[in-house]
Amino acid sequence: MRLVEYPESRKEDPGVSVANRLQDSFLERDKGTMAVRILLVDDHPIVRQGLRTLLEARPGWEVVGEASDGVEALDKVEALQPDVVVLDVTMPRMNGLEACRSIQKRKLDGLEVLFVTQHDSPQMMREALEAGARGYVVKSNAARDLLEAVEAVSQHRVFTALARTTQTATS
Amino acid sequence: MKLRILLADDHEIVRRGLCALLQKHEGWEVCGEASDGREAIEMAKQLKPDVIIVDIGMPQLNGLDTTRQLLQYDPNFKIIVLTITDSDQVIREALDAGARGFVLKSDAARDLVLAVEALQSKRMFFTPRVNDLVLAGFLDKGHAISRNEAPVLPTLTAREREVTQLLAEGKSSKEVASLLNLSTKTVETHRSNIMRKLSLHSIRDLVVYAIKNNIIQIQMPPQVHHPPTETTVA
Repeated sequence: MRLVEYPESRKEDPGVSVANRLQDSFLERDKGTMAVRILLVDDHPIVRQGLRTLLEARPGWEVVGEASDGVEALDKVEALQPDVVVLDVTMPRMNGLEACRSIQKRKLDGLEVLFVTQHDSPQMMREALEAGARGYVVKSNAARDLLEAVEAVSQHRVFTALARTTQTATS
Repeated sequence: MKLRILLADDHEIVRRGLCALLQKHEGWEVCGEASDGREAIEMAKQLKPDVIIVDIGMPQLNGLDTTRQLLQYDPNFKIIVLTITDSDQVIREALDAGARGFVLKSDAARDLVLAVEALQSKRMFFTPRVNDLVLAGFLDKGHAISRNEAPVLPTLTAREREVTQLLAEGKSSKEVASLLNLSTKTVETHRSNIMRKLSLHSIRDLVVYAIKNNIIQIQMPPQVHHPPTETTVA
């Protein structure tokens, strides 16, 4: 369900778009539902479909685009200006860690990266956070952790959860 | 009457994706979802689905052994195997196990509906690569598929394969006994038989065997790029 409509004129001007998104976020928060625009990046369409089904059930959250590898993700980040990029690690052409580093170099205002990956490993989680991600969730537990993780990172808080543990921290 | 489909995959997010895909098709319904092989077998016995979609890489009981046990219970079950790899060995094992469909997870959005339609029409569905291997095997009297394979290993029983998977996943004999409703002593006997049959000497050897023979699957991390460090030339 989409609660916030962006007129075409607002989409065209990046400066105005950022201001409008912030304003809309505050308005939605006041109403108890915060609008979050999400880009999904995973090389398996069936996983993207599953993530989309889960995320779009949340009022105010919208999957604004999908990408199947890191290169496509970089293009879509620029074009769609999402609030949260949900990123897989292992992908063809450019893996998620490299994509995350490139996204961070662009210094896009307010954008956060959340990894959703098969790798249930503290080392990989550290690598992801060092690359600039704000969150890390294991795919086997995505149905349990994803909504909480997106909510946390969209509010610029850290969320990490390996298969057997969940830790959140305010940054 | 609707075509009833049972899904077995350990990732709920994948099951959600598969459900969304399959339920768009008029006349099909997902009648159940299982998160491991053992649960799939119980649900299949209870629900009697028309088609069962089984992921290969499931914990506790992998998709190949699940397929074997399902068909041992009821040879009329129609099973599609979902896999992340289409190596010769996985293809051969899926065919040997009795799967009637073989779909790569990366292509599931495109191929799975076609595969279910094929099984609904009492046909089989394989990826082009499987078709090539099957044809090559037929033309070469079955040798083509196994030509490049490792030498044939002693056969484990279905129970021994289950025990092998659970031990390779790091479970203790006591935990295996509890999961399989056996005594710890019986599990220890299975364990000794497995090690003897396969000439293995440690749990580490067993894990390597389980990975090599697709009893368990692991995902390798991507090659991590580290920025070059500065060096000082003296």
